[in-house]
Amino acid sequence: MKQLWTFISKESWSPYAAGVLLGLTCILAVVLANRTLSASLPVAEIAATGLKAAAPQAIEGNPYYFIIPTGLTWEIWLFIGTMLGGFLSALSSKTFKLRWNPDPLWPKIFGPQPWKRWLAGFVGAIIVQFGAGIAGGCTSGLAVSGGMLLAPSAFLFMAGMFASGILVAFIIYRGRY
Amino acid sequence: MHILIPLFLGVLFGAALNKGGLTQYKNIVGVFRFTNLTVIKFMLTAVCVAMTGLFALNGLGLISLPQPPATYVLGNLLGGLVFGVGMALAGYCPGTCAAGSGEGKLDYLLTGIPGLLAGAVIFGLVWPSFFPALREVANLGQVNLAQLWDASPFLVVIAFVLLVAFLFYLLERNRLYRKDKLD
Repeated sequence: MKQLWTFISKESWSPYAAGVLLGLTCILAVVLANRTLSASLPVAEIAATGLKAAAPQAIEGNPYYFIIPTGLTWEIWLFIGTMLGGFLSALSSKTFKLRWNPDPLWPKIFGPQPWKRWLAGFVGAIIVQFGAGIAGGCTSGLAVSGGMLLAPSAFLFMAGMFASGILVAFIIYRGRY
Repeated sequence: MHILIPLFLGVLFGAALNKGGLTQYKNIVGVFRFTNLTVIKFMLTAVCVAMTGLFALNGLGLISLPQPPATYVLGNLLGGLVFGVGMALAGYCPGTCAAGSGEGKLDYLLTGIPGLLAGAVIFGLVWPSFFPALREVANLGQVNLAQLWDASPFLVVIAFVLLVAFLFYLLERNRLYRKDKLD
Protein backbone atom coordinates (compact mmCIF):
# COMPACT_ATOMS: atom_id res chain seq x y z
CA MET A 1 0.00 0.00 0.00
CA LYS A 2 2.75 2.39 0.98
CA GLN A 3 4.58 1.77 -2.27
CA LEU A 4 1.39 2.40 -4.22
CA TRP A 5 0.89 5.74 -2.49
CA THR A 6 4.54 6.65 -3.08
CA PHE A 7 3.89 6.09 -6.78
CA ILE A 8 0.56 7.94 -6.84
CA SER A 9 1.93 10.94 -4.96
CA LYS A 10 4.84 11.47 -7.33
CA GLU A 11 4.61 14.81 -9.13
CA SER A 12 5.01 13.26 -12.56
CA TRP A 13 4.90 9.79 -14.01
CA SER A 14 6.48 8.39 -17.09
CA PRO A 15 4.21 9.38 -20.01
CA TYR A 16 3.84 5.67 -20.76
CA ALA A 17 2.45 4.99 -17.26
CA ALA A 18 0.07 7.96 -17.45
CA GLY A 19 -0.96 6.82 -20.95
CA VAL A 20 -1.85 3.38 -19.56
CA LEU A 21 -4.07 5.07 -16.96
CA LEU A 22 -5.83 7.08 -19.67
CA GLY A 23 -6.24 3.95 -21.83
CA LEU A 24 -7.80 2.04 -18.92
CA THR A 25 -10.08 5.01 -18.22
CA CYS A 26 -11.24 4.95 -21.85
CA ILE A 27 -12.06 1.23 -21.52
CA LEU A 28 -13.88 1.85 -18.23
CA ALA A 29 -15.99 4.60 -19.85
CA VAL A 30 -17.25 2.12 -22.45
CA VAL A 31 -17.77 -0.69 -19.91
CA LEU A 32 -19.54 1.44 -17.29
CA ALA A 33 -21.48 3.86 -19.46
CA ASN A 34 -21.05 2.83 -23.12
CA ARG A 35 -19.63 6.28 -23.77
CA THR A 36 -16.28 7.78 -24.72
CA LEU A 37 -14.27 10.50 -23.01
CA SER A 38 -14.56 14.01 -24.41
CA ALA A 39 -13.65 17.55 -23.50
CA SER A 40 -14.72 19.80 -26.38
CA LEU A 41 -18.25 18.38 -26.42
CA PRO A 42 -18.85 19.32 -22.76
CA VAL A 43 -17.56 22.83 -23.53
CA ALA A 44 -19.96 23.06 -26.48
CA GLU A 45 -22.81 21.89 -24.22
CA ILE A 46 -21.99 24.42 -21.49
CA ALA A 47 -21.89 27.20 -24.11
CA ALA A 48 -25.17 26.05 -25.66
CA THR A 49 -26.83 25.83 -22.24
CA GLY A 50 -25.67 29.33 -21.37
CA LEU A 51 -26.73 30.77 -24.72
CA LYS A 52 -30.15 29.16 -24.52
CA ALA A 53 -30.71 30.74 -21.12
CA ALA A 54 -29.16 34.16 -21.78
CA ALA A 55 -30.01 34.90 -25.42
CA PRO A 56 -32.55 32.41 -26.82
CA GLN A 57 -33.33 34.73 -29.74
CA ALA A 58 -29.70 34.48 -30.96
CA ILE A 59 -30.00 30.75 -31.61
CA GLU A 60 -33.56 30.62 -32.89
CA GLY A 61 -33.84 28.50 -36.00
CA ASN A 62 -30.21 27.39 -35.78
CA PRO A 63 -30.26 23.60 -36.22
CA TYR A 64 -26.90 23.24 -34.39
CA TYR A 65 -28.73 23.82 -31.11
CA PHE A 66 -31.02 20.88 -31.75
CA ILE A 67 -27.98 18.61 -32.05
CA ILE A 68 -26.10 19.78 -28.97
CA PRO A 69 -27.70 18.63 -25.71
CA THR A 70 -28.16 21.24 -22.99
CA GLY A 71 -28.55 21.15 -19.22
CA LEU A 72 -26.43 19.25 -16.71
CA THR A 73 -25.46 16.47 -19.10
CA TRP A 74 -23.26 13.40 -18.60
CA GLU A 75 -20.44 15.21 -20.46
CA ILE A 76 -20.63 18.26 -18.22
CA TRP A 77 -20.18 16.06 -15.14
CA LEU A 78 -17.25 14.44 -16.91
CA PHE A 79 -15.73 17.89 -17.48
CA ILE A 80 -16.22 18.83 -13.82
CA GLY A 81 -14.62 15.51 -12.92
CA THR A 82 -11.64 16.32 -15.16
CA MET A 83 -11.06 19.58 -13.29
CA LEU A 84 -11.46 17.74 -10.00
CA GLY A 85 -8.99 15.10 -11.20
CA GLY A 86 -6.38 17.76 -11.93
CA PHE A 87 -7.03 19.23 -8.48
CA LEU A 88 -6.81 15.93 -6.57
CA SER A 89 -3.80 14.80 -8.57
CA ALA A 90 -1.97 18.06 -7.82
CA LEU A 91 -2.95 17.75 -4.14
CA SER A 92 -1.55 14.22 -4.02
CA SER A 93 1.87 15.54 -5.03
CA LYS A 94 1.47 18.73 -2.98
CA THR A 95 1.85 20.84 -6.13
CA PHE A 96 -1.52 22.57 -6.05
CA LYS A 97 -0.97 26.31 -6.09
CA LEU A 98 -2.90 29.25 -7.48
CA ARG A 99 -0.60 30.95 -9.99
CA TRP A 100 -0.92 33.16 -13.05
CA ASN A 101 1.83 32.13 -15.40
CA PRO A 102 3.17 28.83 -14.18
CA ASP A 103 5.41 27.76 -17.03
CA PRO A 104 9.17 28.42 -16.96
CA LEU A 105 9.53 28.20 -20.76
CA TRP A 106 6.95 30.85 -21.68
CA PRO A 107 8.82 33.97 -20.39
CA LYS A 108 11.96 32.94 -22.30
CA ILE A 109 10.05 33.38 -25.55
CA PHE A 110 7.48 36.06 -24.88
CA GLY A 111 9.01 38.00 -22.00
CA PRO A 112 7.77 38.30 -18.42
CA GLN A 113 4.56 40.33 -19.07
CA PRO A 114 1.64 38.17 -17.94
CA TRP A 115 -0.90 39.82 -20.29
CA LYS A 116 0.81 38.22 -23.28
CA ARG A 117 0.26 34.79 -21.77
CA TRP A 118 -3.38 35.56 -21.05
CA LEU A 119 -4.00 36.93 -24.54
CA ALA A 120 -2.34 33.97 -26.26
CA GLY A 121 -4.21 31.59 -23.95
CA PHE A 122 -7.56 33.22 -24.67
CA VAL A 123 -7.14 33.52 -28.44
CA GLY A 124 -5.56 30.05 -28.64
CA ALA A 125 -8.50 28.57 -26.75
CA ILE A 126 -11.02 30.14 -29.16
CA ILE A 127 -9.14 28.64 -32.12
CA VAL A 128 -8.81 25.26 -30.39
CA GLN A 129 -12.52 24.97 -29.66
CA PHE A 130 -13.47 26.18 -33.16
CA GLY A 131 -11.15 23.59 -34.71
CA ALA A 132 -12.61 20.85 -32.51
CA GLY A 133 -16.07 21.87 -33.69
CA ILE A 134 -15.10 21.52 -37.36
CA ALA A 135 -13.28 18.22 -36.85
CA GLY A 136 -15.96 16.65 -34.67
CA GLY A 137 -13.93 16.42 -31.47
CA CYS A 138 -10.65 17.30 -29.79
CA THR A 139 -7.55 15.41 -28.67
CA SER A 140 -9.57 13.35 -26.18
CA GLY A 141 -12.94 13.02 -27.91
CA LEU A 142 -11.62 12.45 -31.42
CA ALA A 143 -7.89 11.61 -31.44
CA VAL A 144 -7.83 9.18 -28.48
CA SER A 145 -11.47 8.06 -28.30
CA GLY A 146 -11.74 7.78 -32.08
CA GLY A 147 -8.28 6.29 -32.51
CA MET A 148 -9.08 3.46 -30.10
CA LEU A 149 -12.13 2.61 -32.24
CA LEU A 150 -9.96 2.72 -35.39
CA ALA A 151 -11.85 5.73 -36.79
CA PRO A 152 -10.10 7.23 -39.85
CA SER A 153 -11.27 10.67 -38.67
CA ALA A 154 -9.03 10.39 -35.58
CA PHE A 155 -5.90 9.91 -37.67
CA LEU A 156 -6.84 12.64 -40.14
CA PHE A 157 -7.35 15.00 -37.19
CA MET A 158 -3.99 14.07 -35.64
CA ALA A 159 -2.21 14.61 -38.97
CA GLY A 160 -3.76 18.07 -39.32
CA MET A 161 -3.05 19.01 -35.71
CA PHE A 162 0.62 18.09 -35.86
CA ALA A 163 1.16 19.70 -39.27
CA SER A 164 -0.16 23.11 -38.25
CA GLY A 165 1.19 22.86 -34.69
CA ILE A 166 4.71 22.33 -35.99
CA LEU A 167 4.34 25.23 -38.44
CA VAL A 168 3.01 27.66 -35.82
CA ALA A 169 5.66 26.64 -33.26
CA PHE A 170 8.28 27.22 -35.95
CA ILE A 171 6.92 30.71 -36.67
CA ILE A 172 6.70 31.62 -32.97
CA TYR A 173 10.11 30.29 -31.97
CA ARG A 174 12.02 31.16 -35.16
CA GLY A 175 15.78 31.05 -34.33
CA ARG A 176 15.03 29.38 -31.02
CA TYR A 177 12.94 26.59 -32.56
CA MET B 1 -25.46 7.22 -9.71
CA HIS B 2 -25.42 8.63 -13.21
CA ILE B 3 -23.52 11.61 -11.85
CA LEU B 4 -20.91 9.57 -10.00
CA ILE B 5 -19.79 7.57 -13.03
CA PRO B 6 -18.85 10.57 -15.24
CA LEU B 7 -17.34 12.34 -12.21
CA PHE B 8 -15.22 9.30 -11.40
CA LEU B 9 -14.12 8.85 -15.02
CA GLY B 10 -13.32 12.55 -15.19
CA VAL B 11 -11.15 12.34 -12.07
CA LEU B 12 -9.12 9.50 -13.60
CA PHE B 13 -8.86 11.43 -16.88
CA GLY B 14 -7.72 14.63 -15.16
CA ALA B 15 -5.25 12.72 -12.98
CA ALA B 16 -3.73 10.98 -16.03
CA LEU B 17 -3.28 14.38 -17.73
CA ASN B 18 -1.68 15.87 -14.60
CA LYS B 19 0.65 12.98 -13.86
CA GLY B 20 1.62 12.62 -17.51
CA GLY B 21 2.72 16.27 -17.65
CA LEU B 22 0.12 17.10 -20.31
CA THR B 23 -1.01 20.17 -18.38
CA GLN B 24 2.33 21.90 -18.94
CA TYR B 25 2.91 24.38 -21.75
CA LYS B 26 6.48 23.21 -22.30
CA ASN B 27 5.42 19.61 -22.95
CA ILE B 28 2.68 20.54 -25.41
CA VAL B 29 4.84 22.92 -27.40
CA GLY B 30 7.76 20.50 -27.06
CA VAL B 31 6.07 17.96 -29.28
CA PHE B 32 5.68 20.55 -32.05
CA ARG B 33 9.37 21.44 -31.70
CA PHE B 34 10.47 17.78 -31.47
CA THR B 35 12.31 18.61 -28.24
CA ASN B 36 9.98 16.70 -25.92
CA LEU B 37 7.83 13.82 -27.09
CA THR B 38 5.68 13.38 -23.97
CA VAL B 39 2.45 14.03 -25.90
CA ILE B 40 3.18 11.35 -28.52
CA LYS B 41 4.16 8.75 -25.93
CA PHE B 42 1.15 9.50 -23.74
CA MET B 43 -1.44 9.58 -26.52
CA LEU B 44 -0.27 6.57 -28.46
CA THR B 45 0.07 4.47 -25.28
CA ALA B 46 -3.49 5.37 -24.31
CA VAL B 47 -4.81 4.56 -27.80
CA CYS B 48 -3.00 1.18 -27.87
CA VAL B 49 -4.16 0.14 -24.38
CA ALA B 50 -7.75 1.22 -25.02
CA MET B 51 -8.00 -0.35 -28.49
CA THR B 52 -6.52 -3.66 -27.29
CA GLY B 53 -8.86 -3.82 -24.29
CA LEU B 54 -11.97 -2.78 -26.19
CA PHE B 55 -11.56 -5.05 -29.20
CA ALA B 56 -10.59 -7.98 -26.93
CA LEU B 57 -13.66 -7.48 -24.68
CA ASN B 58 -15.82 -7.05 -27.75
CA GLY B 59 -14.37 -10.19 -29.35
CA LEU B 60 -15.20 -12.13 -26.18
CA GLY B 61 -18.76 -10.88 -26.46
CA LEU B 62 -18.59 -8.97 -23.16
CA ILE B 63 -19.24 -5.46 -24.47
CA SER B 64 -20.55 -3.77 -27.58
CA LEU B 65 -18.42 -1.02 -29.06
CA PRO B 66 -19.67 2.57 -29.33
CA GLN B 67 -20.05 4.01 -32.82
CA PRO B 68 -16.77 5.54 -34.00
CA PRO B 69 -16.81 9.31 -34.64
CA ALA B 70 -17.89 10.20 -38.18
CA THR B 71 -15.29 10.52 -40.90
CA TYR B 72 -15.71 13.43 -43.31
CA VAL B 73 -12.21 13.68 -44.70
CA LEU B 74 -11.93 17.39 -45.49
CA GLY B 75 -13.57 18.53 -42.25
CA ASN B 76 -11.58 16.21 -39.99
CA LEU B 77 -8.35 17.35 -41.59
CA LEU B 78 -9.27 21.05 -41.70
CA GLY B 79 -10.48 20.94 -38.09
CA GLY B 80 -7.19 19.36 -37.06
CA LEU B 81 -5.26 22.09 -38.89
CA VAL B 82 -7.21 24.84 -37.10
CA PHE B 83 -6.94 23.01 -33.77
CA GLY B 84 -3.15 22.69 -34.03
CA VAL B 85 -2.75 26.46 -34.51
CA GLY B 86 -4.57 27.15 -31.25
CA MET B 87 -2.83 24.37 -29.40
CA ALA B 88 0.66 25.59 -30.35
CA LEU B 89 -0.34 29.12 -29.34
CA ALA B 90 -2.06 28.37 -26.03
CA GLY B 91 -0.26 25.20 -25.01
CA TYR B 92 -3.44 23.38 -24.08
CA CYS B 93 -6.46 21.65 -25.53
CA PRO B 94 -9.92 21.46 -23.91
CA GLY B 95 -9.12 18.44 -21.69
CA THR B 96 -5.74 19.67 -20.49
CA CYS B 97 -7.21 23.13 -19.92
CA ALA B 98 -9.78 21.60 -17.56
CA ALA B 99 -7.22 19.51 -15.66
CA GLY B 100 -4.73 22.40 -15.51
CA SER B 101 -7.46 24.67 -14.14
CA GLY B 102 -7.91 22.19 -11.31
CA GLU B 103 -4.21 22.40 -10.53
CA GLY B 104 -4.60 26.08 -9.75
CA LYS B 105 -3.29 27.44 -13.05
CA LEU B 106 -5.24 30.67 -13.30
CA ASP B 107 -4.21 31.33 -16.90
CA TYR B 108 -6.00 28.05 -17.75
CA LEU B 109 -9.04 28.72 -15.57
CA LEU B 110 -9.59 32.43 -16.17
CA THR B 111 -8.44 32.91 -19.76
CA GLY B 112 -8.45 29.37 -21.20
CA ILE B 113 -11.92 28.23 -20.17
CA PRO B 114 -13.62 31.52 -21.20
CA GLY B 115 -11.73 31.30 -24.52
CA LEU B 116 -13.01 27.77 -25.11
CA LEU B 117 -16.57 28.87 -24.33
CA ALA B 118 -16.23 31.87 -26.66
CA GLY B 119 -14.93 29.54 -29.38
CA ALA B 120 -17.91 27.25 -28.86
CA VAL B 121 -20.38 30.15 -29.11
CA ILE B 122 -18.76 31.46 -32.32
CA PHE B 123 -18.73 27.98 -33.82
CA GLY B 124 -22.38 27.39 -32.96
CA LEU B 125 -23.48 30.70 -34.47
CA VAL B 126 -21.63 30.26 -37.78
CA TRP B 127 -22.37 26.51 -37.97
CA PRO B 128 -25.30 26.77 -40.42
CA SER B 129 -23.27 28.86 -42.88
CA PHE B 130 -20.64 26.23 -43.68
CA PHE B 131 -20.72 23.06 -41.62
CA PRO B 132 -23.54 21.08 -43.31
CA ALA B 133 -21.82 21.59 -46.68
CA LEU B 134 -18.35 20.77 -45.35
CA ARG B 135 -19.59 17.57 -43.74
CA GLU B 136 -20.78 16.28 -47.11
CA VAL B 137 -17.31 16.40 -48.67
CA ALA B 138 -15.84 12.87 -48.77
CA ASN B 139 -18.23 11.73 -46.04
CA LEU B 140 -17.59 8.09 -45.15
CA GLY B 141 -19.93 8.02 -42.15
CA GLN B 142 -19.27 6.25 -38.86
CA VAL B 143 -16.78 3.79 -40.25
CA ASN B 144 -13.63 2.21 -38.83
CA LEU B 145 -10.39 1.33 -40.63
CA ALA B 146 -11.07 -2.41 -40.51
CA GLN B 147 -14.37 -1.94 -42.36
CA LEU B 148 -12.76 0.48 -44.77
CA TRP B 149 -9.99 -1.99 -45.63
CA ASP B 150 -12.27 -5.02 -45.36
CA ALA B 151 -9.83 -6.54 -42.87
CA SER B 152 -10.19 -8.26 -39.50
CA PRO B 153 -10.33 -5.60 -36.76
CA PHE B 154 -8.08 -7.78 -34.57
CA LEU B 155 -5.44 -7.83 -37.29
CA VAL B 156 -5.60 -4.03 -37.62
CA VAL B 157 -5.28 -3.62 -33.82
CA ILE B 158 -2.29 -5.98 -33.64
CA ALA B 159 -0.59 -4.23 -36.58
CA PHE B 160 -1.22 -0.80 -35.01
CA VAL B 161 0.12 -1.83 -31.59
CA LEU B 162 3.23 -3.44 -33.12
CA LEU B 163 3.86 -0.33 -35.21
CA VAL B 164 3.59 1.92 -32.15
CA ALA B 165 5.82 -0.41 -30.10
CA PHE B 166 8.44 -0.24 -32.87
CA LEU B 167 8.16 3.57 -32.95
CA PHE B 168 8.65 3.78 -29.16
CA TYR B 169 11.63 1.44 -29.41
CA LEU B 170 13.23 3.67 -32.04
CA LEU B 171 12.46 6.82 -30.06
CA GLU B 172 14.01 5.51 -26.86
CA ARG B 173 16.97 3.75 -28.43
CA ASN B 174 18.09 6.47 -30.78
CA ARG B 175 16.90 9.42 -28.68
CA LEU B 176 15.04 10.74 -31.68
CA TYR B 177 14.40 14.21 -30.37
CA ARG B 178 16.16 17.52 -30.76
CA LYS B 179 18.11 19.20 -28.01
CA ASP B 180 16.22 22.22 -26.68
CA LYS B 181 18.17 25.40 -27.46
CA LEU B 182 16.47 27.09 -24.52
CA ASP B 183 17.60 24.69 -21.79
